[in-house]
Amino acid sequence: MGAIIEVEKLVRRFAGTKALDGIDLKVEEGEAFALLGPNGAGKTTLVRVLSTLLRPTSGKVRVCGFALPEEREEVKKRIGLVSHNPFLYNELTAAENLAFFAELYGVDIDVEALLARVCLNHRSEDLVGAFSQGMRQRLSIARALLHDPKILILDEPTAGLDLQSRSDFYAMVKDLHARGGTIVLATHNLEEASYLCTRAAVLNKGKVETILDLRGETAGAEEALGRLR
Amino acid sequence: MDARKALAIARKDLRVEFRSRATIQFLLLFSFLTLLMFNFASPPFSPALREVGPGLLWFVFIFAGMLGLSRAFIKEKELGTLEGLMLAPVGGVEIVLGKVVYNLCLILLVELFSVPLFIALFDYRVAGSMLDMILVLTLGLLGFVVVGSFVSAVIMGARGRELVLQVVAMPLLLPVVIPTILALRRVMADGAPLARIGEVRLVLAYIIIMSTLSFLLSDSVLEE
Repeated sequence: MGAIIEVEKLVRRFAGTKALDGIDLKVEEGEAFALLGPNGAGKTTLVRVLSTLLRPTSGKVRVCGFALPEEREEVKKRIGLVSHNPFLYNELTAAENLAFFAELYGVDIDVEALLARVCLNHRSEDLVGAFSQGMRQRLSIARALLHDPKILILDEPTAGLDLQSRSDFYAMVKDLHARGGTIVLATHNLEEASYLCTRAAVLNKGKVETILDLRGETAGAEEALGRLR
Repeated sequence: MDARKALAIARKDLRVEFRSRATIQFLLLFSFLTLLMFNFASPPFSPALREVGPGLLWFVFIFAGMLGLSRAFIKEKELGTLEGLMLAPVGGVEIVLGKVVYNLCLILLVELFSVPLFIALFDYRVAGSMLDMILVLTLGLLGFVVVGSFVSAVIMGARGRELVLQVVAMPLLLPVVIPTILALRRVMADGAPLARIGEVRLVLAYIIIMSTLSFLLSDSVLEE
């Protein structure tokens, strides 16, 4: 399988400050890949570039073979993003939220089946405003998956979740990966990254410090992260 | 441009609005209280009312409309849901058009409530055709919403955005507001037929220019 995400010499500036400073990265199709690093390392900026929310200042970015930002409409159809913000409307029910986003993606979906996939089918007619943080995050996964994306991008997805919700969330991500989906996880939590992913890029000050194999010992990863603290 | 997506956004906004009723209740209450206060302030059957009536109606629409406009993009920005829209394969044009339709529905509801109330409270006799008056008002409100929605999108990232919206939008709205008030006065007070009112064409031209501009710039405006 080839690279599904290719990043070359990516630079993103904010008012003169380089949030990303020459990032080179490749993520293989079907891989679970982590972006690790302390706060301010550039993880979220990289996620936002990959998910079309930010334009690169310079460098090349290809997602599913499409160049960003030129072919971003094609990229949008092939990625799903879950972040700590669920992008949901509190005044709409779970089913209405999914139906709305399905209209925007131009896809016909079985709302009940999708909600069952994230164990929320019994709450389909409830307003999202009445949901717990964990339930919102599960619904956010359903929103991100409704168009059957090739890549699921997760940006600090477990921030604010309790242990049970976190465990449910991990199980869902593992299941998606087992079905062949590509996962990109941005986190500062090494345990989370090593539990869900097989490789990781350690980011610091907008640069890739090192690429780690997380399948074996995580001692190398701990050492790499320790150097950044 | 995919009009279905724009309509889906407008429908979603209207559903959210009618479920929370936060903005619409406020708009209608504002309109009612403003007209009531002016009613108490003016002597009944005053001939001056005939002259200032169109301006008074627009006073209500502008300030009620501003309150509504500020919520369309700013609320999405504050709640972080705008990024959810931007992640979907939806262009800036569809998002702006969806907001225009939503804002137009809200302001037309205010029109539907305020015009009969104004006529009843002030015992106002429209000299011209009632249909012409409604058409002039609706055209003016369309211009107001097109300009206001675009400005709302432009300033949503600014600090103190609700205040900035009023400051930036007001000068841009003058080419809509002034000709509309003049046209409305000619219909309401002078009884002129719509076809003979040149100001209407001015408003129409401005709406076309601003719509083209906002649709051309919508992608750049909505991008961070």
